[in-house]
Amino acid sequence: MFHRWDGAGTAGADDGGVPVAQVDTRAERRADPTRRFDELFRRLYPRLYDLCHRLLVDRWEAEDVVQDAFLRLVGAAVIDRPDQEVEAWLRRVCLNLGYNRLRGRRRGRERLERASAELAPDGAAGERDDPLGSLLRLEQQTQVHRALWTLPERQRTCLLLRHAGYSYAEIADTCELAVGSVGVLLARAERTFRDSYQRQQQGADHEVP
Amino acid sequence: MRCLEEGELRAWIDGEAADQAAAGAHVDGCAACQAAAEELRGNAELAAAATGVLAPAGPLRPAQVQTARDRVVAAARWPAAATPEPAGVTAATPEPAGVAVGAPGPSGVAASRPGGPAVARRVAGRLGGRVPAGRARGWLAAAVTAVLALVLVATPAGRSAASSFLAQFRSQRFAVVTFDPEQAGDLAGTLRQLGTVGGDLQGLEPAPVATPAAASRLVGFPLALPDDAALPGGVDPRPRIQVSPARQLRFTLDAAKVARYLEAHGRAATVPAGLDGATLVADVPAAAVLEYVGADGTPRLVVGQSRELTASVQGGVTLEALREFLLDLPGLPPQTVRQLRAIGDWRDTLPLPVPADRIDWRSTTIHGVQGLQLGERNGLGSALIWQRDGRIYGVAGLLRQASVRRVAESLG
Repeated sequence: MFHRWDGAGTAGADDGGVPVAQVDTRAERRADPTRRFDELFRRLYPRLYDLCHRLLVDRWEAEDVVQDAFLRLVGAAVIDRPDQEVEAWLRRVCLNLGYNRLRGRRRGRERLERASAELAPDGAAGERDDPLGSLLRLEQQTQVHRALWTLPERQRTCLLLRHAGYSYAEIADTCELAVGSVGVLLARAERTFRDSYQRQQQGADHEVP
Repeated sequence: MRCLEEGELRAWIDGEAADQAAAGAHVDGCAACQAAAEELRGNAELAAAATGVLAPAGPLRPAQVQTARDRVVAAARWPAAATPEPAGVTAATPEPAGVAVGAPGPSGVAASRPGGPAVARRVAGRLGGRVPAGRARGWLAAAVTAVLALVLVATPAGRSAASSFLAQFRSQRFAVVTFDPEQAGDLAGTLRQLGTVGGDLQGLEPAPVATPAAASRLVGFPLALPDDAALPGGVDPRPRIQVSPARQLRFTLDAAKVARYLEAHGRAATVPAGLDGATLVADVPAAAVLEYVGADGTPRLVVGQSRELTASVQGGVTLEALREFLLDLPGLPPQTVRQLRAIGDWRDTLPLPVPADRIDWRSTTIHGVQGLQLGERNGLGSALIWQRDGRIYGVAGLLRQASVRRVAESLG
């Protein structure tokens, strides 16, 4: 347990030290944690909202989930970690909360069907003026979700993250995978998705878990 | 180059291959890989187009982001440390180096004692910092909880007994666990997310004591005094003596809180049976601190002594199970966890949190036992900590290491 008496060296990874170059930025973060929170919020909220919307297909639920995730960030140890770690943490929490909500629905598509009856899930003015377009979009969303739910959860998450614009490194951080595994999972996920989605479009009925 | 595997090919399509140029060169000349890439590209394009309908109808407007931000900020329970400070105070927050050098006091867990930060405050003052007392006290609460957390995770599996008293920890030696000072508040916050922290957290300021004999009565053993000849030049040989009372700290796990915590960190919210209500009890002994001041009235040397620190667990769980569970929790600083796991004799080794960016340390022999020698990187302060015959000794000061050792060796 005893290390490094020769004070000149930079701290190594083994003893929990921080490379000297990082100390200043960490000190800055420490100096004003609310500013750090604001910076993270403004930068990450829109992208996380987009991701959660893809998962939940509901504007209000997506906003709720992302806000809940940021609420949990307040006071969490991770907020003082480097950006990359905070971002992966927020994505994980968002996805987890999102999946929990989906499991809370008796069926994955129930919400979509209810929203379908209500006609204006996204509340976009343009769509309210175009109920038919809105309905078509909902039907598409339902099909995509059904196809996605034929995938194992990790593959589904990889696919969602990738097509929400996240890099392989970000996907690896989120799913706690090696970067080299992302392509493998993605290739499998997209093949299964294609088969499943095409069956959906051909009218084959698939149960959603 | 060999043919690409499917995952590599998929990464190459996205411009994410480990060696994009080499992969491309191979695919250009390989019909099989071209065909495979074609299929993967088609699948990817289909997935992109299909999942595109799941995206929000339009981007968020800045005003919507602002509203969301305001909503979260209003709902959040901000940790005290995160409250924005008025300009000019930030620079005066307690410096970890001042704490670690000024506070090792009796045990090196002196951060947990009222005497520690009081001393640290003065030492920090000597170092040029100004530490508002109120803030230092807030920091103290955080530090106490941080130390409790470390004790908690380092606490041993002991002998099981039929009674609720399952195991006991008894400090005998120290091990450094590098520790981010900023994590202290976070650890306190983490503990509160897992259960309740109680015991003697407040109102135990060290009290001045007139004579070493009176201090000895309060701590329960005869204090060792350094030889005058060993004291550094320029200090008043008559110490100011303070005694901080014994305190008990309790941390009780709450299964419902743990489940919420796990869920928030993306883990299954399953809490092992018996953990609910399990309580770690840490008994921090009374400690005497001798302060030797220089001509300018600021402390230059601090000698602390106390009995050993003990801890136990009450409830329906073994300490081994509790320790494993806590070390396995998400959200803890991984390097701290790794170091705690690396402690071999965790039945009797007290983890000593050290801010790694400011303090260097090494093992040393003093009075025939293994102790820890610590030094500020800027060369200003040094400390020695050891435990012998059930007593913890600490010597620290704004001195060179050799001067600190001379004082330590004179403590008969």
